[in-house]
Amino acid sequence: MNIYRHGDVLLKQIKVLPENKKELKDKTLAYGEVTGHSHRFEDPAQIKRYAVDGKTYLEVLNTGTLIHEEHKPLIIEKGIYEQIAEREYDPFIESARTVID
Amino acid sequence: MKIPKIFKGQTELTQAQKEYLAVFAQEQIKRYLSCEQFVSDKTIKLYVNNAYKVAGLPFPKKIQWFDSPEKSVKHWASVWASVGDSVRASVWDSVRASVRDSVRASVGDSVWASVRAFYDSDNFSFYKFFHENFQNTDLVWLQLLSENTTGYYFYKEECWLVRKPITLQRDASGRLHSETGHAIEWRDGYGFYYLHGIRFNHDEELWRKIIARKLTFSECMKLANIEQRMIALKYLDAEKLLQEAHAECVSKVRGYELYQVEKIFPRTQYFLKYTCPSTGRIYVSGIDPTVGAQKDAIKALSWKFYLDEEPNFTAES
Repeated sequence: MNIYRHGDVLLKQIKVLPENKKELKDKTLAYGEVTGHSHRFEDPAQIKRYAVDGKTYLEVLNTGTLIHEEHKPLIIEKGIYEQIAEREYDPFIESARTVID
Repeated sequence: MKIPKIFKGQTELTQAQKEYLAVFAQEQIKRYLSCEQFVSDKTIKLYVNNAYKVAGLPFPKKIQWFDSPEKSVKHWASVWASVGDSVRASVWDSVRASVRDSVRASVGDSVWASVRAFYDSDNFSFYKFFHENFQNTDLVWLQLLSENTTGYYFYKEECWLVRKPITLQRDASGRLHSETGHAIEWRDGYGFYYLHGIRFNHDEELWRKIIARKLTFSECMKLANIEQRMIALKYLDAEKLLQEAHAECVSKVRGYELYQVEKIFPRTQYFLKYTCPSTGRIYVSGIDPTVGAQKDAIKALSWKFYLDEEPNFTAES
């Protein structure tokens, strides 16, 4: 199974999409708060994004390119993926949180 | 520079047209990054009236100028949707590749995407090219407004326009950046601090501390935004900062370094230092102490991405 890392975004291939998923209109995978940059597919028509139980999934309909203003493009094979956001531990509040960029 | 106009049915750009496109794109980049207003307020009023006309609306009774985006607030409506797109040609894709993408690369990504102004500078440039070289398009009024203002808001009876900034400074890579003041500032003093494309909004104190290299390891780690932290680490030197914190490297695998830090926090903490393969930038990020205590940099990396297995990436960038 493929695992791709594009900066703070990780795509982990899975076999099937979960049930009760809700399709997301926004096809951008992640936005940078202080840079205005984003992780997205060159051709958004080639993907579908879903959410269920606080997790995000991606259906790559045809092999496509994941792009970002500063990261090199990644070729993502056709398939179903779980989109995982990088996390980190905050020693001041002593708990983990999703990385903010 | 004059080029032969595109004609209906043309399927490929001529060499002269291709050469002109490169010149045109550079000129557009220059115009959008310029702090200059190229035409008089009177001419801009003409653009506004034409935009309203295209949208089928009566001319606005009042045109109000604002010195900065801060002064112009909420509730804006654009004629963008009602104007629609009236330019289609068989050479569309070639022009888009040459003009829109190059303007986006220089203007959109590095500057305007950051401040959310002129967000459509790339598309507008594309439409302008067609307006000038193929057939008139109603979108040109919006394009002309966009290159002469920071932004515009259309209301039924009023049109609000925001003046262009008076300062716009960038680093060698074209990213908003200044170590002497706001990287972008409007005439009323409103502006944003930026370091190498990373926005610090109006936090002058933090911005000053970073450029003066006066942050401690603890203060640096307290920055919730990992990109702001990355820039701070760049200025302060990550190695030096870790040394000052008496951080001990307890694991080093495949370029990932796990550090153990004592005495700064109420209990022992762990930090993973790693380099982005695309940009070469160095990041330092906290690791759950129960994971860090295993003193394995790869396990720490797996924890960051909720992975049970060792992260053998098919590809990464």
